[in-house]
Amino acid sequence: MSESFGVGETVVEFSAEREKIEAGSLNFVVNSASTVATSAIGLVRFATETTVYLATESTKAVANSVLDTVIPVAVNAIVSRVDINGIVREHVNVNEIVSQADINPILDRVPMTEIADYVIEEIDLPSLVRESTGGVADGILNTVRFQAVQTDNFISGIVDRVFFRKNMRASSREVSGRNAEL
Amino acid sequence: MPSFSQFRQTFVPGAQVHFSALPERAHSIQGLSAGFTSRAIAVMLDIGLVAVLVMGAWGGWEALRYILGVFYDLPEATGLPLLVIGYFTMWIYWTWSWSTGGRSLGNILMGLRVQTNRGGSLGLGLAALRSLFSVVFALGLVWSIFSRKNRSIQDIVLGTEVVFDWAPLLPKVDMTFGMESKE
Repeated sequence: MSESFGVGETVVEFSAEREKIEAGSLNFVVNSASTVATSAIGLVRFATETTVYLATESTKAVANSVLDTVIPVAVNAIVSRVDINGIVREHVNVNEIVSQADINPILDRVPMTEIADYVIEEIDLPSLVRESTGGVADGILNTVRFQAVQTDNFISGIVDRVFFRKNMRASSREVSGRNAEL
Repeated sequence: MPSFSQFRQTFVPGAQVHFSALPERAHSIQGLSAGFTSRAIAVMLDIGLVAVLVMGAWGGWEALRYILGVFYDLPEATGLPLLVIGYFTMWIYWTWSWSTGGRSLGNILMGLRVQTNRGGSLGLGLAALRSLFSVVFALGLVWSIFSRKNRSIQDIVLGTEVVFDWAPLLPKVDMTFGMESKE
């Protein structure tokens, strides 16, 4: 590439200088070309990746929506033809599962007071208490009270009869000897 | 026998008195007006109580006189003054017990309660009036034998009545005992 001008060292120096410059420009061209090539490759890669990603995601979404519609119907169709209770009865040990369940939250939901009220009413606890703990003093007191009430009934019955009253007072006090408890 | 779920549907908390150790027969007369015999026995018990109180106080006074007789000349308390004190104590006692829950000791023992015609409790003024009337004219109670609603003269004049209420520990008992109210 060196071109001789035939004017001694100066020319040689000049041509050396010129060679340097030419080499530099070549270097520059190569560098630029590689940069452009790298960028192009990167661009292509990015575009490809994006495309692939978008394609994957949209495929997934479509597949999901299709499955969301299809699977419930399919499962329902399958399950309705299968006796799940029978399968559970045959293959599952229910007692073992129940024995492992935490009983406390279940008990928290049970209305204890209402059950207690129900039991008290059903076994007639008041009458049991009356029969078992009705003390002697209580019995005497109630006897005296009932005797007074019955005496009143007797007296008012006579008075009402004497005055020919239709609504007799004694009939309103239903304290007869029939259902005597004492 | 209802099942628990049936019971639960009809269950209203507080609307029923589940637990009452009273005899069944007492439920049927709960809240009805009481007759002459019950009330007369109650009055006699009250008189007995006041008599014991006054006689005890009199005995104490006599003992004090005897002990201090050497130093002081305390007045003798006999006859008419003692009777007046007895009447006065009776008046105060009935006023106090009828205005605070409507029961004297005799009423508690016989299962009675004094109330107004509308079922309310007696105020202090009304209780004092009824008490004074009863102390002064105790024979007015005899009219409850003849009255259709077991009213004594005092009850008719002052608009009060005496009803059966056999649960002396409770201030005022649910008279329906879980059944529907009469209104």
